[in-house]
Amino acid sequence: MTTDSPGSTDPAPSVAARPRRVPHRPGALAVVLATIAVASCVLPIVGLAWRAPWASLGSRLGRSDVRGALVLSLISSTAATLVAFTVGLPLAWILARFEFPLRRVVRSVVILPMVLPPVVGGLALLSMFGRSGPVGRVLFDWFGLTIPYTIWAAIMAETFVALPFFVVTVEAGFRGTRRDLEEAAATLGASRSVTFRRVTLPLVRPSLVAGAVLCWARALGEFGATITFAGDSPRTDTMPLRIFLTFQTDPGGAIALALVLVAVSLAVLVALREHWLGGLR
Amino acid sequence: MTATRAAPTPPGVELDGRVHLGGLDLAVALEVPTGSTLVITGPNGAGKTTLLRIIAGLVALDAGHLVVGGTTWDDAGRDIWRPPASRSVGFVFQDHALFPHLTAAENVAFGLRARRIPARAALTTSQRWLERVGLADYASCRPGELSGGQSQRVALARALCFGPDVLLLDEPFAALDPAARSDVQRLLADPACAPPMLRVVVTHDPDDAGALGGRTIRVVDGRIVEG
Repeated sequence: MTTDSPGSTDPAPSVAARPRRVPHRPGALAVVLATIAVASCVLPIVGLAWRAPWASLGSRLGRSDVRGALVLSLISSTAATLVAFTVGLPLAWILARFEFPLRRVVRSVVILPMVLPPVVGGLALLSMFGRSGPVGRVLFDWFGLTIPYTIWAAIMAETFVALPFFVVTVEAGFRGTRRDLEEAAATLGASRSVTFRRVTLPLVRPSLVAGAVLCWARALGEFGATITFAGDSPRTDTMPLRIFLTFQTDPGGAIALALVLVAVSLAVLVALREHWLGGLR
Repeated sequence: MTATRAAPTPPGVELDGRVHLGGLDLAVALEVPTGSTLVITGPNGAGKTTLLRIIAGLVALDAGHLVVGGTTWDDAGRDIWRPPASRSVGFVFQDHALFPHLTAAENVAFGLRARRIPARAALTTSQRWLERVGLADYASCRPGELSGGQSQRVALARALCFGPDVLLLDEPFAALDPAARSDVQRLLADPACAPPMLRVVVTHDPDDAGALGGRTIRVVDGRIVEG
Protein backbone atom coordinates (compact mmCIF):
# COMPACT_ATOMS: atom_id res chain seq x y z
CA MET A 1 0.00 0.00 0.00
CA THR A 2 2.76 2.45 0.89
CA THR A 3 4.67 1.85 -2.33
CA ASP A 4 2.23 3.79 -4.47
CA SER A 5 2.46 6.91 -2.33
CA PRO A 6 4.62 9.33 -4.31
CA GLY A 7 6.16 11.07 -1.32
CA SER A 8 8.05 8.30 0.47
CA THR A 9 9.31 10.74 3.10
CA ASP A 10 5.78 11.11 4.55
CA PRO A 11 5.28 9.49 7.93
CA ALA A 12 3.68 6.08 7.42
CA PRO A 13 -0.13 6.37 7.78
CA SER A 14 -2.01 3.91 9.93
CA VAL A 15 -2.11 1.17 7.32
CA ALA A 16 -4.99 -0.82 8.81
CA ALA A 17 -7.37 2.17 8.80
CA ARG A 18 -6.67 3.19 5.21
CA PRO A 19 -9.69 2.30 3.05
CA ARG A 20 -9.00 0.55 -0.23
CA ARG A 21 -11.19 3.07 -2.01
CA VAL A 22 -12.19 6.63 -1.33
CA PRO A 23 -15.61 6.56 0.41
CA HIS A 24 -18.31 7.22 -2.14
CA ARG A 25 -21.64 7.77 -0.44
CA PRO A 26 -23.76 10.85 0.26
CA GLY A 27 -23.89 12.52 3.67
CA ALA A 28 -26.86 12.02 6.03
CA LEU A 29 -28.30 15.50 5.46
CA ALA A 30 -28.36 15.03 1.68
CA VAL A 31 -30.09 11.66 2.11
CA VAL A 32 -32.76 13.12 4.43
CA LEU A 33 -33.50 16.07 2.16
CA ALA A 34 -33.56 13.84 -0.93
CA THR A 35 -35.98 11.50 0.83
CA ILE A 36 -38.29 14.45 1.56
CA ALA A 37 -38.13 15.33 -2.13
CA VAL A 38 -39.12 11.81 -3.16
CA ALA A 39 -41.90 11.72 -0.54
CA SER A 40 -43.30 15.02 -1.81
CA CYS A 41 -43.71 13.38 -5.22
CA VAL A 42 -45.07 10.06 -4.04
CA LEU A 43 -47.25 10.86 -0.99
CA PRO A 44 -49.94 12.90 -2.80
CA ILE A 45 -50.39 10.11 -5.35
CA VAL A 46 -50.69 7.60 -2.52
CA GLY A 47 -53.33 9.87 -0.98
CA LEU A 48 -55.24 9.86 -4.22
CA ALA A 49 -55.25 6.07 -4.32
CA TRP A 50 -56.19 5.98 -0.61
CA ARG A 51 -59.28 8.15 -1.05
CA ALA A 52 -60.35 6.64 -4.35
CA PRO A 53 -63.90 5.18 -4.47
CA TRP A 54 -62.61 1.85 -5.78
CA ALA A 55 -65.99 0.06 -5.47
CA SER A 56 -67.84 2.50 -7.72
CA LEU A 57 -64.89 3.26 -9.99
CA GLY A 58 -66.22 1.32 -12.96
CA SER A 59 -69.64 2.94 -13.02
CA ARG A 60 -68.24 6.44 -12.44
CA LEU A 61 -65.74 6.14 -15.30
CA GLY A 62 -68.26 4.50 -17.60
CA ARG A 63 -70.44 7.62 -17.75
CA SER A 64 -70.65 9.13 -21.22
CA ASP A 65 -69.57 12.63 -20.13
CA VAL A 66 -66.43 11.16 -18.57
CA ARG A 67 -65.62 9.17 -21.68
CA GLY A 68 -66.32 12.28 -23.75
CA ALA A 69 -63.92 14.34 -21.66
CA LEU A 70 -61.20 11.69 -21.93
CA VAL A 71 -61.60 11.43 -25.71
CA LEU A 72 -61.61 15.22 -26.06
CA SER A 73 -58.46 15.42 -23.93
CA LEU A 74 -56.65 12.79 -25.98
CA ILE A 75 -57.68 14.40 -29.28
CA SER A 76 -56.82 17.97 -28.29
CA SER A 77 -53.49 17.12 -26.61
CA THR A 78 -52.45 14.96 -29.58
CA ALA A 79 -53.46 17.71 -32.01
CA ALA A 80 -51.52 20.27 -29.97
CA THR A 81 -48.47 18.00 -30.06
CA LEU A 82 -48.75 17.59 -33.83
CA VAL A 83 -48.93 21.35 -34.27
CA ALA A 84 -45.97 21.82 -31.91
CA PHE A 85 -44.01 19.18 -33.85
CA THR A 86 -44.79 20.74 -37.22
CA VAL A 87 -43.87 24.33 -36.37
CA GLY A 88 -41.56 23.65 -33.42
CA LEU A 89 -39.14 21.37 -35.27
CA PRO A 90 -38.04 23.99 -37.82
CA LEU A 91 -37.95 26.63 -35.09
CA ALA A 92 -35.74 24.50 -32.84
CA TRP A 93 -33.44 23.76 -35.79
CA ILE A 94 -33.12 27.44 -36.75
CA LEU A 95 -32.52 28.47 -33.12
CA ALA A 96 -29.85 25.80 -32.70
CA ARG A 97 -28.03 26.22 -35.99
CA PHE A 98 -28.17 29.80 -37.17
CA GLU A 99 -26.97 33.14 -35.90
CA PHE A 100 -29.40 35.93 -36.67
CA PRO A 101 -30.37 39.24 -35.10
CA LEU A 102 -32.74 38.93 -32.15
CA ARG A 103 -32.17 35.18 -31.85
CA ARG A 104 -32.11 35.44 -28.05
CA VAL A 105 -35.25 37.56 -28.12
CA VAL A 106 -37.03 34.99 -30.30
CA ARG A 107 -36.04 32.21 -27.93
CA SER A 108 -37.21 34.17 -24.89
CA VAL A 109 -40.56 34.90 -26.53
CA VAL A 110 -41.05 31.23 -27.37
CA ILE A 111 -40.17 30.18 -23.83
CA LEU A 112 -42.43 32.82 -22.29
CA PRO A 113 -45.56 30.59 -22.11
CA MET A 114 -43.50 28.19 -19.99
CA VAL A 115 -43.16 30.77 -17.21
CA LEU A 116 -46.38 32.68 -17.86
CA PRO A 117 -49.31 31.72 -15.60
CA PRO A 118 -51.59 29.67 -17.89
CA VAL A 119 -54.68 31.70 -16.99
CA VAL A 120 -52.87 34.80 -18.27
CA GLY A 121 -52.11 32.90 -21.47
CA GLY A 122 -55.80 32.06 -21.81
CA LEU A 123 -56.76 35.72 -21.37
CA ALA A 124 -54.14 36.71 -23.94
CA LEU A 125 -55.51 34.20 -26.46
CA LEU A 126 -59.03 35.45 -25.80
CA SER A 127 -57.91 39.06 -26.30
CA MET A 128 -56.41 38.27 -29.69
CA PHE A 129 -58.73 35.57 -31.03
CA GLY A 130 -61.95 36.39 -29.18
CA ARG A 131 -64.73 38.01 -31.21
CA SER A 132 -63.66 41.50 -30.22
CA GLY A 133 -59.94 40.76 -30.64
CA PRO A 134 -58.06 41.99 -33.71
CA VAL A 135 -57.79 38.56 -35.33
CA GLY A 136 -61.00 37.13 -33.89
CA ARG A 137 -63.09 39.98 -35.31
CA VAL A 138 -61.67 39.48 -38.79
CA LEU A 139 -62.29 35.74 -38.63
CA PHE A 140 -65.89 36.35 -37.57
CA ASP A 141 -66.67 39.22 -39.94
CA TRP A 142 -65.11 37.65 -43.01
CA PHE A 143 -65.61 33.94 -42.47
CA GLY A 144 -68.20 33.69 -39.73
CA LEU A 145 -65.71 31.76 -37.60
CA THR A 146 -65.68 31.84 -33.82
CA ILE A 147 -62.77 30.28 -32.03
CA PRO A 148 -63.42 30.72 -28.30
CA TYR A 149 -65.44 28.02 -26.58
CA THR A 150 -64.74 25.47 -29.33
CA ILE A 151 -62.39 22.48 -29.48
CA TRP A 152 -60.12 24.66 -31.64
CA ALA A 153 -59.73 27.00 -28.68
CA ALA A 154 -58.81 24.05 -26.45
CA ILE A 155 -56.18 22.93 -29.00
CA MET A 156 -54.79 26.47 -29.35
CA ALA A 157 -54.60 26.95 -25.58
CA GLU A 158 -52.80 23.63 -25.16
CA THR A 159 -50.41 24.38 -28.04
CA PHE A 160 -49.62 27.81 -26.60
CA VAL A 161 -48.68 26.36 -23.24
CA ALA A 162 -46.96 23.16 -24.42
CA LEU A 163 -44.98 24.32 -27.47
CA PRO A 164 -41.98 25.64 -25.48
CA PHE A 165 -41.44 22.22 -23.90
CA PHE A 166 -41.01 20.73 -27.37
CA VAL A 167 -38.85 23.54 -28.73
CA VAL A 168 -36.49 23.70 -25.75
CA THR A 169 -35.96 19.92 -25.70
CA VAL A 170 -35.42 19.59 -29.44
CA GLU A 171 -33.17 22.64 -29.68
CA ALA A 172 -30.90 21.07 -27.06
CA GLY A 173 -30.95 17.89 -29.16
CA PHE A 174 -29.86 19.75 -32.31
CA ARG A 175 -27.09 21.48 -30.38
CA GLY A 176 -25.85 18.13 -29.14
CA THR A 177 -25.52 16.50 -32.57
CA ARG A 178 -22.12 16.26 -34.25
CA ARG A 179 -21.79 18.73 -37.10
CA ASP A 180 -19.04 16.68 -38.75
CA LEU A 181 -21.60 13.97 -39.55
CA GLU A 182 -23.60 16.51 -41.55
CA GLU A 183 -20.41 17.63 -43.26
CA ALA A 184 -19.59 14.02 -44.08
CA ALA A 185 -23.05 13.58 -45.61
CA ALA A 186 -22.52 16.70 -47.72
CA THR A 187 -19.17 15.46 -49.07
CA LEU A 188 -20.86 12.16 -49.91
CA GLY A 189 -23.20 14.03 -52.23
CA ALA A 190 -26.25 14.43 -49.98
CA SER A 191 -28.33 17.57 -50.52
CA ARG A 192 -29.37 19.62 -47.49
CA SER A 193 -32.77 17.95 -47.33
CA VAL A 194 -31.32 14.44 -47.66
CA THR A 195 -28.75 15.24 -44.97
CA PHE A 196 -31.50 16.52 -42.70
CA ARG A 197 -33.75 13.51 -43.22
CA ARG A 198 -31.14 10.75 -43.23
CA VAL A 199 -28.55 12.07 -40.76
CA THR A 200 -29.75 14.97 -38.61
CA LEU A 201 -33.25 13.75 -37.82
CA PRO A 202 -32.21 10.21 -36.82
CA LEU A 203 -29.55 11.71 -34.55
CA VAL A 204 -32.05 13.94 -32.73
CA ARG A 205 -34.72 11.25 -32.56
CA PRO A 206 -34.37 10.75 -28.78
CA SER A 207 -34.87 14.48 -28.23
CA LEU A 208 -37.84 14.50 -30.61
CA VAL A 209 -39.50 11.70 -28.65
CA ALA A 210 -38.74 13.29 -25.28
CA GLY A 211 -39.90 16.72 -26.48
CA ALA A 212 -43.10 15.35 -27.98
CA VAL A 213 -43.94 13.45 -24.80
CA LEU A 214 -43.24 16.40 -22.50
CA CYS A 215 -45.33 18.57 -24.80
CA TRP A 216 -48.16 16.04 -24.93
CA ALA A 217 -48.18 15.56 -21.16
CA ARG A 218 -48.25 19.31 -20.58
CA ALA A 219 -51.09 19.68 -23.08
CA LEU A 220 -53.02 16.81 -21.49
CA GLY A 221 -52.91 18.48 -18.10
CA GLU A 222 -53.55 22.02 -19.34
CA PHE A 223 -56.24 23.73 -17.25
CA GLY A 224 -55.82 27.47 -16.76
CA ALA A 225 -55.52 28.63 -20.36
CA THR A 226 -58.13 26.14 -21.55
CA ILE A 227 -60.84 27.13 -19.08
CA THR A 228 -60.21 30.81 -19.83
CA PHE A 229 -60.13 30.56 -23.62
CA ALA A 230 -62.24 27.49 -24.32
CA GLY A 231 -64.57 27.76 -21.33
CA ASP A 232 -66.46 24.87 -19.80
CA SER A 233 -69.08 23.24 -21.94
CA PRO A 234 -69.63 19.67 -23.08
CA ARG A 235 -67.79 20.61 -26.29
CA THR A 236 -64.65 21.84 -24.55
CA ASP A 237 -64.51 19.97 -21.24
CA THR A 238 -61.14 18.27 -21.24
CA MET A 239 -60.24 15.94 -18.37
CA PRO A 240 -58.63 18.59 -16.12
CA LEU A 241 -61.72 20.81 -16.49
CA ARG A 242 -64.03 17.85 -15.87
CA ILE A 243 -62.04 16.95 -12.75
CA PHE A 244 -62.23 20.48 -11.38
CA LEU A 245 -65.96 20.83 -12.12
CA THR A 246 -66.79 17.41 -10.69
CA PHE A 247 -64.80 18.23 -7.57
CA GLN A 248 -67.25 21.07 -6.73
CA THR A 249 -70.07 18.60 -6.16
CA ASP A 250 -68.55 15.11 -6.00
CA PRO A 251 -64.98 14.83 -4.62
CA GLY A 252 -65.02 11.04 -4.95
CA GLY A 253 -65.91 11.32 -8.62
CA ALA A 254 -63.12 13.84 -9.16
CA ILE A 255 -60.62 11.44 -7.61
CA ALA A 256 -61.81 8.67 -9.89
CA LEU A 257 -61.21 10.90 -12.91
CA ALA A 258 -57.84 11.97 -11.56
CA LEU A 259 -56.79 8.32 -11.33
CA VAL A 260 -57.37 8.01 -15.07
CA LEU A 261 -54.84 10.76 -15.74
CA VAL A 262 -52.42 9.19 -13.26
CA ALA A 263 -52.73 5.92 -15.17
CA VAL A 264 -52.18 7.64 -18.52
CA SER A 265 -49.12 9.48 -17.18
CA LEU A 266 -47.65 6.31 -15.69
CA ALA A 267 -48.24 4.46 -18.95
CA VAL A 268 -46.27 7.13 -20.83
CA LEU A 269 -43.48 7.02 -18.27
CA VAL A 270 -43.24 3.23 -18.52
CA ALA A 271 -43.37 3.27 -22.32
CA LEU A 272 -40.51 5.76 -22.44
CA ARG A 273 -38.37 4.48 -19.60
CA GLU A 274 -35.65 3.53 -22.08
CA HIS A 275 -35.61 7.03 -23.52
CA TRP A 276 -35.34 8.88 -20.24
CA LEU A 277 -34.43 6.64 -17.38
CA GLY A 278 -32.09 4.62 -19.59
CA GLY A 279 -30.35 7.73 -20.76
CA LEU A 280 -29.79 8.96 -17.23
CA ARG A 281 -28.61 5.70 -15.74
CA MET B 1 6.57 23.25 -61.38
CA THR B 2 9.40 21.33 -63.05
CA ALA B 3 8.86 20.96 -66.79
CA THR B 4 9.56 17.23 -67.00
CA ARG B 5 6.41 16.68 -69.06
CA ALA B 6 5.14 18.53 -72.09
CA ALA B 7 1.86 19.28 -70.26
CA PRO B 8 -0.60 17.36 -72.47
CA THR B 9 -3.41 17.70 -69.91
CA PRO B 10 -4.42 20.59 -67.70
CA PRO B 11 -3.17 20.37 -64.12
CA GLY B 12 -5.30 18.13 -61.90
CA VAL B 13 -5.74 20.61 -59.14
CA GLU B 14 -4.80 24.26 -59.03
CA LEU B 15 -5.30 26.05 -55.73
CA ASP B 16 -4.24 29.62 -55.15
CA GLY B 17 -6.16 31.16 -52.31
CA ARG B 18 -6.46 32.62 -48.88
CA VAL B 19 -8.72 31.89 -45.90
CA HIS B 20 -9.10 33.63 -42.56
CA LEU B 21 -10.59 31.30 -39.99
CA GLY B 22 -10.47 32.18 -36.32
CA GLY B 23 -6.81 32.73 -35.53
CA LEU B 24 -5.65 30.99 -38.68
CA ASP B 25 -4.52 32.92 -41.77
CA LEU B 26 -4.00 30.36 -44.52
CA ALA B 27 -2.49 31.46 -47.82
CA VAL B 28 -1.41 28.72 -50.23
CA ALA B 29 -0.61 28.30 -53.91
CA LEU B 30 -0.09 24.86 -55.39
CA GLU B 31 -0.53 22.92 -58.59
CA VAL B 32 -0.76 19.15 -58.59
CA PRO B 33 -0.80 17.03 -61.76
CA THR B 34 -3.65 14.63 -62.51
CA GLY B 35 -3.49 11.28 -60.80
CA SER B 36 -0.91 12.18 -58.18
CA THR B 37 -0.70 11.98 -54.43
CA LEU B 38 -0.06 15.04 -52.33
CA VAL B 39 1.10 14.54 -48.75
CA ILE B 40 0.68 17.45 -46.36
CA THR B 41 2.67 17.46 -43.13
CA GLY B 42 3.16 20.07 -40.47
CA PRO B 43 2.45 20.83 -36.82
CA ASN B 44 -1.03 20.93 -35.27
CA GLY B 45 -3.03 24.04 -36.04
CA ALA B 46 -0.94 24.87 -39.11
CA GLY B 47 -3.92 24.66 -41.46
CA LYS B 48 -3.53 21.13 -42.87
CA THR B 49 -7.13 20.10 -42.23
CA THR B 50 -8.37 23.50 -43.44
CA LEU B 51 -6.67 22.79 -46.79
CA LEU B 52 -8.67 19.57 -47.09
CA ARG B 53 -11.86 21.40 -46.09
CA ILE B 54 -11.25 24.03 -48.79
CA ILE B 55 -10.95 21.30 -51.44
CA ALA B 56 -14.06 19.52 -50.10
CA GLY B 57 -16.08 22.73 -50.06
CA LEU B 58 -16.60 22.81 -46.29
CA VAL B 59 -14.66 26.07 -46.14
CA ALA B 60 -15.00 28.76 -48.82
CA LEU B 61 -12.00 30.77 -50.00
CA ASP B 62 -11.92 34.42 -48.92
CA ALA B 63 -9.74 35.20 -51.94
CA GLY B 64 -8.30 33.26 -54.87
CA HIS B 65 -9.54 30.19 -56.70
CA LEU B 66 -9.61 26.39 -56.77
CA VAL B 67 -9.76 24.61 -60.13
CA VAL B 68 -10.04 20.82 -60.32
CA GLY B 69 -9.71 19.02 -63.66
CA GLY B 70 -10.37 22.23 -65.54
CA THR B 71 -13.57 23.00 -63.59
CA THR B 72 -13.67 25.94 -61.19
CA TRP B 73 -14.90 24.78 -57.78
CA ASP B 74 -14.31 27.99 -55.91
CA ASP B 75 -13.44 31.47 -57.11
CA ALA B 76 -13.91 34.30 -54.64
CA GLY B 77 -13.29 36.97 -57.29
CA ARG B 78 -15.90 35.63 -59.74
CA ASP B 79 -18.32 34.55 -57.02
CA ILE B 80 -18.26 30.90 -58.08
CA TRP B 81 -18.72 28.25 -55.43
CA ARG B 82 -19.64 24.64 -55.95
CA PRO B 83 -21.23 23.05 -52.86
CA PRO B 84 -19.60 19.93 -51.34
CA ALA B 85 -22.39 17.68 -52.60
CA SER B 86 -21.51 18.36 -56.25
CA ARG B 87 -17.71 18.21 -55.96
CA SER B 88 -17.01 14.48 -56.34
CA VAL B 89 -14.76 14.33 -53.31
CA GLY B 90 -14.29 11.39 -50.95
CA PHE B 91 -13.35 12.71 -47.50
CA VAL B 92 -12.03 10.43 -44.77
CA PHE B 93 -12.35 12.51 -41.62
CA GLN B 94 -9.84 12.24 -38.82
CA ASP B 95 -12.39 10.70 -36.44
CA HIS B 96 -13.99 8.87 -39.40
CA ALA B 97 -17.41 10.55 -38.90
CA LEU B 98 -19.32 7.32 -39.51
CA PHE B 99 -23.09 7.66 -39.08
CA PRO B 100 -23.78 5.95 -35.73
CA HIS B 101 -27.38 5.05 -36.60
CA LEU B 102 -26.45 3.20 -39.80
CA THR B 103 -24.71 -0.15 -40.27
CA ALA B 104 -21.29 -0.39 -41.88
CA ALA B 105 -22.90 -1.41 -45.19
CA GLU B 106 -25.40 1.48 -45.03
CA ASN B 107 -22.58 3.89 -44.22
CA VAL B 108 -20.63 2.77 -47.27
CA ALA B 109 -23.75 2.89 -49.45
CA PHE B 110 -24.63 6.42 -48.31
CA GLY B 111 -22.82 8.22 -51.14
CA LEU B 112 -24.46 5.95 -53.72
CA ARG B 113 -27.94 6.42 -52.22
CA ALA B 114 -27.37 10.19 -52.18
CA ARG B 115 -26.77 9.85 -55.94
CA ARG B 116 -30.15 8.15 -56.31
CA ILE B 117 -28.73 4.70 -56.97
CA PRO B 118 -31.40 2.13 -56.01
CA ALA B 119 -30.97 0.62 -52.55
CA ARG B 120 -30.30 -2.91 -53.77
CA ALA B 121 -27.59 -1.90 -56.24
CA ALA B 122 -26.05 0.45 -53.69
CA LEU B 123 -25.84 -2.29 -51.05
CA THR B 124 -24.28 -4.71 -53.57
CA THR B 125 -21.55 -2.19 -54.38
CA SER B 126 -21.17 -1.39 -50.69
CA GLN B 127 -20.71 -5.08 -49.90
CA ARG B 128 -18.02 -5.35 -52.60
CA TRP B 129 -16.14 -2.46 -51.03
CA LEU B 130 -16.43 -3.95 -47.56
CA GLU B 131 -14.87 -7.14 -48.99
CA ARG B 132 -12.11 -5.09 -50.57
CA VAL B 133 -11.22 -3.49 -47.23
CA GLY B 134 -11.46 -6.87 -45.48
CA LEU B 135 -14.68 -6.24 -43.56
CA ALA B 136 -17.19 -8.43 -45.44
CA ASP B 137 -18.31 -10.00 -42.15
CA TYR B 138 -19.00 -6.65 -40.49
CA ALA B 139 -21.60 -5.35 -42.95
CA SER B 140 -24.39 -5.31 -40.37
CA CYS B 141 -22.31 -3.89 -37.49
CA ARG B 142 -22.89 -0.37 -36.30
CA PRO B 143 -19.90 1.96 -35.91
CA GLY B 144 -20.02 1.58 -32.13
CA GLU B 145 -19.20 -2.11 -32.51
CA LEU B 146 -16.12 -1.55 -34.69
CA SER B 147 -12.50 -1.06 -33.61
CA GLY B 148 -10.61 2.07 -34.62
CA GLY B 149 -8.90 0.33 -37.52
CA GLN B 150 -12.15 -1.23 -38.73
CA SER B 151 -14.05 2.05 -38.65
CA GLN B 152 -11.16 3.71 -40.50
CA ARG B 153 -11.51 1.11 -43.26
CA VAL B 154 -15.29 1.58 -43.39
CA ALA B 155 -14.71 5.34 -43.72
CA LEU B 156 -12.25 4.68 -46.56
CA ALA B 157 -14.71 2.38 -48.35
CA ARG B 158 -17.47 4.97 -47.88
CA ALA B 159 -15.29 7.72 -49.35
CA LEU B 160 -14.32 5.64 -52.41
CA CYS B 161 -17.51 3.66 -53.07
CA PHE B 162 -19.16 6.29 -55.32
CA GLY B 163 -16.02 6.78 -57.43
CA PRO B 164 -14.92 10.32 -56.50
CA ASP B 165 -12.34 12.27 -58.54
CA VAL B 166 -10.52 13.37 -55.39
CA LEU B 167 -9.80 11.49 -52.17
CA LEU B 168 -8.98 13.44 -49.01
CA LEU B 169 -7.54 11.65 -46.00
CA ASP B 170 -7.15 13.50 -42.70
CA GLU B 171 -4.61 11.77 -40.46
CA PRO B 172 -5.57 8.29 -41.71
CA PHE B 173 -3.05 6.60 -39.44
CA ALA B 174 -3.57 8.52 -36.22
CA ALA B 175 -4.98 6.46 -33.37
CA LEU B 176 -4.37 3.13 -35.15
CA ASP B 177 -2.32 0.34 -33.63
CA PRO B 178 0.63 -0.90 -35.74
CA ALA B 179 -1.29 -3.83 -37.28
CA ALA B 180 -4.26 -1.68 -38.31
CA ARG B 181 -1.83 0.93 -39.56
CA SER B 182 -0.15 -1.44 -41.98
CA ASP B 183 -3.59 -2.71 -43.12
CA VAL B 184 -4.63 0.80 -44.06
CA GLN B 185 -1.25 1.52 -45.65
CA ARG B 186 -1.58 -1.60 -47.79
CA LEU B 187 -5.07 -0.52 -48.85
CA LEU B 188 -3.86 2.91 -49.87
CA ALA B 189 -1.18 1.26 -52.03
CA ASP B 190 -3.92 -0.65 -53.91
CA PRO B 191 -4.60 1.02 -57.29
CA ALA B 192 -8.33 0.41 -56.79
CA CYS B 193 -8.17 2.86 -53.90
CA ALA B 194 -6.58 5.63 -55.96
CA PRO B 195 -8.97 8.26 -57.33
CA PRO B 196 -8.41 9.37 -60.93
CA MET B 197 -7.68 13.01 -60.19
CA LEU B 198 -5.92 13.48 -56.90
CA ARG B 199 -5.26 12.04 -53.49
CA VAL B 200 -4.40 14.32 -50.58
CA VAL B 201 -3.15 12.86 -47.31
CA VAL B 202 -2.71 14.95 -44.19
CA THR B 203 -0.34 13.49 -41.63
CA HIS B 204 1.78 14.89 -38.87
CA ASP B 205 4.08 11.85 -39.06
CA PRO B 206 7.00 12.23 -41.54
CA ASP B 207 7.37 8.42 -41.74
CA ASP B 208 3.86 8.08 -43.19
CA ALA B 209 4.66 10.78 -45.69
CA GLY B 210 7.56 8.71 -47.02
CA ALA B 211 5.53 5.50 -47.19
CA LEU B 212 2.75 7.06 -49.29
CA GLY B 213 4.94 8.34 -52.09
CA GLY B 214 4.03 11.36 -54.15
CA ARG B 215 4.90 14.94 -53.48
CA THR B 216 5.18 16.11 -49.89
CA ILE B 217 4.58 19.65 -48.76
CA ARG B 218 4.93 21.01 -45.27
CA VAL B 219 2.49 23.59 -43.92
CA VAL B 220 3.54 25.83 -41.04
CA ASP B 221 1.43 28.72 -39.75
CA GLY B 222 -0.80 28.73 -42.82
CA ARG B 223 2.09 28.86 -45.31
CA ILE B 224 3.57 26.14 -47.52
CA VAL B 225 7.17 25.27 -46.77
CA GLU B 226 8.20 22.84 -49.54
CA GLY B 227 9.44 19.60 -48.04
